[in-house]
Order: sequence, then structure tokens, then C-alpha cells
Amino acid sequence: MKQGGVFRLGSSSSIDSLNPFVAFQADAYTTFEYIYPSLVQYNPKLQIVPDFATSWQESDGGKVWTFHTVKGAKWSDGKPLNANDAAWTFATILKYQKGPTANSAGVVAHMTSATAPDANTLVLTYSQPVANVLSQIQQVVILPEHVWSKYATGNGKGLTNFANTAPIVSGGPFILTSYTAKQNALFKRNPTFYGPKPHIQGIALEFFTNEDAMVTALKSGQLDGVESVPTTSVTQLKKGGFDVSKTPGDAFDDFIINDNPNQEASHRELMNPLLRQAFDYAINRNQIVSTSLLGYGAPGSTIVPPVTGNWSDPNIKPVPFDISKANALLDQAGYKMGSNGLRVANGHPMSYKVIMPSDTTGGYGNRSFAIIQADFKQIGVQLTPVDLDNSAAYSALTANNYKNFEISMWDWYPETDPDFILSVLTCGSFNVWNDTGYCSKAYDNLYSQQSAAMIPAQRQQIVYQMQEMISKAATYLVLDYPDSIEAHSTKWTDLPLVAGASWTGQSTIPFESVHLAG
Amino acid sequence: MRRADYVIKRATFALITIFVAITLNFFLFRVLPGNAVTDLARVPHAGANLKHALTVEFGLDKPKWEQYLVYLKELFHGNMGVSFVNQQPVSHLLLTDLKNTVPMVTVGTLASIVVGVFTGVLAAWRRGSLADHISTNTAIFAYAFPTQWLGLMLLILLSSHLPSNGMTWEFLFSPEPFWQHLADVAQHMILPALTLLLTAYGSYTLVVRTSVLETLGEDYVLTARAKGLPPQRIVWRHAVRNALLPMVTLIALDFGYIVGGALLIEVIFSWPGIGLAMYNAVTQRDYPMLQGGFLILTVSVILLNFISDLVYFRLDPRISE
Repeated sequence: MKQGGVFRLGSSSSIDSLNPFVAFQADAYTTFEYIYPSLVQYNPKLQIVPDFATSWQESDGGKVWTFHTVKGAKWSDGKPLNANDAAWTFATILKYQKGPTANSAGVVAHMTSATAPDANTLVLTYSQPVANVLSQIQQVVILPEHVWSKYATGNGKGLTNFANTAPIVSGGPFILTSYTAKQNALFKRNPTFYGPKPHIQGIALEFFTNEDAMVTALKSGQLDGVESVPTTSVTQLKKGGFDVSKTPGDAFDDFIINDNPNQEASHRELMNPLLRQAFDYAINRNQIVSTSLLGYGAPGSTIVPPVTGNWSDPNIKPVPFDISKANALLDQAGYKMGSNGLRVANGHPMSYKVIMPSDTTGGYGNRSFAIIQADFKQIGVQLTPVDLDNSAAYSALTANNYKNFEISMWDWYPETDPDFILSVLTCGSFNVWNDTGYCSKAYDNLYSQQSAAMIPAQRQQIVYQMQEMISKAATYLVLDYPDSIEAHSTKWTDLPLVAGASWTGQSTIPFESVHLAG
Repeated sequence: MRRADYVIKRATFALITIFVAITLNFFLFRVLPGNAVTDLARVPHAGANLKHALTVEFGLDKPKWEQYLVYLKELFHGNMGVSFVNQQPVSHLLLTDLKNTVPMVTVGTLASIVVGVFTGVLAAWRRGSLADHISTNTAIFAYAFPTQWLGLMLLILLSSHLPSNGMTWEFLFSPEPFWQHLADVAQHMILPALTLLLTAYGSYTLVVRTSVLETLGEDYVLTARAKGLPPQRIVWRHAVRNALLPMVTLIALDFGYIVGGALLIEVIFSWPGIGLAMYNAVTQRDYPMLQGGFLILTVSVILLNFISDLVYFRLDPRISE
């Protein structure tokens, strides 16, 4: 197998901060995954496999988790890397979770302590059994205590003020040797890494604000790969002899109908199940996939995307496009067609404002909206877009405790474990994640049950039940699952994908295994 | 005495303008619907804790007038605050961006002045000729094309021959020698600077043409001709020199915008300057970065206007009379 070479990767994301307690952009999290150790990671089959933890056991009914870590590991500065660093990281997140480490608070939910009884053992204790402990801790990177401990004093503000500039003391497969904001980041193979050594000498990550420029750079040989390909460039890259991978992505686009039963009377008919069913039938998902996504995607059904594997409920199928059925349902609901081609509900014309955040309008969302708008006209319903930036859109959705808004179109990037996307619809997520106004005690109970169900088959049943509830409520009409599309030069081979991506915060396997072809 | 009066009056006016701009910049972003920390708190598994922590950390839980007073107080102490996005000092971040922006925009602006003056003089000198038509019409077209369109066209047409992203291709683990680095940056600068040149030179051409035409009709030019001076000397020494007065304002204004960067150009070519920083700050609602960026832009535009007033005063004795 050929060794060496620098993989030059183009990215349209960016690193906003090199401090794990501050960053929120995808490339920052991927960077942390590659330079810092994680206890566990995902493999390309989306199974959780050992990383810095070689093995683990749970005890006390799932409340105590004991991890055995790699022996004799070292940080890139030669200092020992062991379970004490892991215990310090978790304990620090726990200690400052209401302030400086709040961006990681969720991953230590229900955790009460983190200790290292010896240098190679980490014990995490929880106040209640937590079903998704492994997928939660997969998201925590272990920081070098000898570098960071001086910032975890007093009110902990030092933890977020620390810029953590390159070169960074690293413990993962790569060392971040240099970083120029908005331009590039250079990763060099870490000779002291405890795991399988990467075959490549390094990764050069180049940031682009313009995807066309990124694709051109790949075509002209200035890059070896790009982490996302606009659908319009797929054919030309394939023709150009590039290795283009198209896999089901982990995102979905949705059509949101206000689910607050106390919403303004002027649009309270949106709560009517017949209306929602009619809307569902009036959405031409196949056309959205073929026109908006240029065929690179699949019609949507449930909020847990099929790519996440066993958690997605296969019994929920995309609703077929059927205008006459939609019209029949609205007739049944008693919404008579007016002379102007608009139906009348509760004395007012069925005309709704659709809040369009920049996430939606910045991509292909306008095309999807145009398709839906034209089809809704055929059922006597008028949709008018209201373009807002993401922040203003979320304020508009949550305004007056979810009473004001009517409809919106947005998207989600659920994680491999379903906990997060399911949490979005809980009452506790109001004003944080919830963008529907949906709140159900029965659903919340199921959410708590699945988070404590230690037997996967049992948990799966509850997760299915929750998806069915949401599908029936039809507050989210899932439009489509866009494919994840990557491309790289055939000079390189053995670059596996994890949940549709090679450059991902879920695994270091892709860039440990990639190497020059031949 | 009159001169001192003029300078003091202008300086006071500039200071008041800066203060008003600072105040407007502060409130402008905050009256928009939406919340500065909503996007920042969109980290899976962060939730309510993070939103609250960030709101308190950035002082956004305080009443707006109190935030304003704190901002003013800190500003007078030279502290522009920390960026909401990465919690690093704004002054430090903006300085890095400025260092990247100034060379590119200066090259583009200077080139556009040179090309603009040359084509303008040519068009005026050869008024009504083919050269005048070509030069004037091209200038009008270039001036009329939106920057983003022109930039994208250049990118599509030329990016397989010229670098179209960022400032360097630093894929090497050993630092490049200085000259190689400089050549790398210069190569990367061609497309953005060319876009700037094309979008900016047109206005110079038109202004110079009109102004030179006016002076060419003056009596002293006629006198020069009658004296039998060579045409080139008449144009450059007699006509152009006197025609450049309106250019002073135009150039001063354009130089004021140099520090503001060429926002759209920087976004298209991923040029890591102050324009791109402002664009990111807008999309991320990074108020301190926006305030800092706008402050620099405001101060530089006002300062250069002030300087152009002074230069005018010096060049045109009629003002002091």
C-alpha cells in the first residue's frame, strides 16, 4: 500500500473556533474528532466501535459505565495520555455545564460524576439509566488536562476565552499544525497516535465560500477531493473521471404546520387532521426530488431518516401525490371553494404565510416551495412566502408562544442516534429547538422511556411508536431526504463514508484508511 | 484665521458624524427581529443551557441602553469587545482581515484610477472618434454590470487558469520562501483585483471625460493652442491638471471604501478580508464584529472626506475666499 501524500480537501463549511467549548461549525467538530481522542467512534456500518476506549461494561442497571482505555498512549508533546485526561474532560464539562461548557451540557445529561480509579480506567456514573450513553460520549473529545486545566478555575471563563491556536497538542491520528482563519487548516500525521496510523502524510483543508470555485479547483487538480458537490456539478465531475459518491444523506427537508392548539383563531383550522392529510396528499414529493434535488435524493416520510439504520420506522411510507384526494378531504372538512379559486375555512379564505428561513431559501428550497405553491393552488389554498434570516425565522415561529405563525419550511440534520431529533418535538424543547409548537405529554413520556430503555429492541419499539405519533400528527410533512454527494480524484482510494460523509465528526476511520492508488 | 476656522468646522462636523454613526450602528442591528444567540446555540445537545449562558456572557440580558453605555465606555478605552462567534477580541480579528483586504483593494482601486483617467482623457481628447465611442461605451457597460455578476463570469471563464479561492495555496508543511509566497498571493489577487478594476474604472472614465472636455473649451487652452504647443502637452499639462479637481473627491471616497473591502468580491473569491468578515458577521449576527467593521468603515470614509476637503481647500483658492 502506497504511503504518504497530502490529501487536499475543499470544504464549504468553516472552522469558527478551535476551542471545543466555543465552536459550532461542522468543520470545527470534524477537526476536533481528528486531533483529539474519543472514547468510541462509528464505523462505516454505523456501529459504535472502540477508539481510545478498548472495551467497556455497564453495571447497576445502566447507571455505571466503566471504560478501559489504551495503555501507554501519548499526546503529541510526549506527555502521557490516559484515563485521567478523559475523567478531567467529563468532570470539567459537568462542573461548568451551566456556563462555559454549556455547549456540551446535553452529552453529559444525567451524568453525576466522572472519575479515573487508575490511569487506564474511566468510570462514568449516571443518576438514571441512559440508553444512548455511547452515542453521547462519541461526541465528546478528550482534551489534554496538562494544557487545559489552568483555564478551568474560578468561574471557568478561561475555558471559552482560550483561543487554542495551532499547533495544537494533539492525541488523535493527526496534529493540527497550522490554521489560517477563513483560508486553510493543515493536519500532519501524528507519529505518537495510539491507533492505526494514517497512510497519508497529512490533510490540507481549504475553505471555500463559493461552491463553483471549489468544484473548479477540483477539476483543475488544485484539490484532491471536495466534501460536498452541488447537484448541478455531479454529471460533469463524473465525466471528468472523478470518483463521485452519492449516498442517502442524514438530513431531511420539512413543511411545518403550526401545532399549537391555542394558535390564533384566524388560522386555527390548521389543527384539523383532515386539512393536514389533504396538504400531505397535495405535495408532489417525486417532483421535488427530480426538480429541486435533480434526482439526488428520496421522497421523505419519517423524521428519523432511513440512513440512520435500525431506528428509522420502515412502516412509514412517503404519502403519494393525489390532488383529487386532497380536494375530497378538504370538501369533507367543509371548506367550500370560493369564487376566487380559494377555499373558505371558518369564514376566511385559506391563504397562509410560509416562513422561509435563509437555510431554506439559500439552497433549493425556493424551487420546492414553487412546486408546492402551484399544487396547493389546485386545492384552493394560497401560500405566500415570507423570507427571513434563520434567527428572525425562529423568532417568528416561537413568537407569542407559537400562536402566531402558520406554516414554515425548514430542514433538520438528525444525528445517527435518534435521541436528538426526537427531543426536538418535546415540550421541553420549546424556544430552543421546537419549531412546530407540538407538545404532547404522551410523546414526552415515550421520549423519557426510550432514553432509559437499555435493551435496543425495546428502545427501537418506542422510537417507532414516537415516529408514528409524529407522522399521524402531521405537524412535519417530511418532503425529502437529500443525498450526500462527495467527490475525489481517482489518485486516491479506500476513502469510506460514515453516514454519507468521509470528513465527519463521527469517525476518524476514513482518513486513517485513505491512501494513494496503485 | 479663515483657514483655521474652516479646519475646525470640518473636524467638528466629522467627529459628530462619527458619534452619530457609532450610535446608529449599535441600534441598527438590534432593532432587527431575531436573537443574536439563536444560531450560536444550535449545537445538538446544547439547548436551553447554552442559550442562557451565551445571553448572559454577551450581556444581552441587560436593557439596550445599558448595553449601549457599556459599549461606548469600552470603545473609549479602545476595546471593541469580543466576537460572539469565536469569543476572540474583535480588534485583533479585524486587524488580520484589514491586512488581507488593503493590498487587494488598493491594487484594484489604483489600477481602476489609472485605467479610468487614461481612457477618460483619451475619450475627451478624441471626442466623437471611434476611440471615444469604444472607450465611453465600454466604461458605461462595465460600470452598469453588477459586481457579483462580473465576478462570477470571470470566475467561470478564468478559474481553470488562475486561482479563484482565498489568498494562497498553502498545502505545504514547510513554510514557503518569502518570494514564492508573494508570487502566490499576487496570483490569487489577479481575479478579485481585476473584478474591482472592471467595476470601478467606468466612473472615472466618465467623470474624467466630462471634466477634461470642459477644460478643453476654456480660453487658456485656446491660448496654448495658439502658442503652438504640442497637443500632448496641452492635454496633460493644461487640460487634465485642471480637470482633476472633481477626481479628488471621487478618489478620496473610493479610498475610504478600501478598508471596507469589496464585500461581494471577497465573498465570491473567498478573499479572507474585512468584506468577507462583515458578510459572515451579518449571517451569524455577530454584533461586535459588525459594530467594529462599520466603525472602521465609517471612520475611514469620514477621515478621507475630511482630507479631501482639506486638499480641495488647498487646490481651489475659491473656497477660502
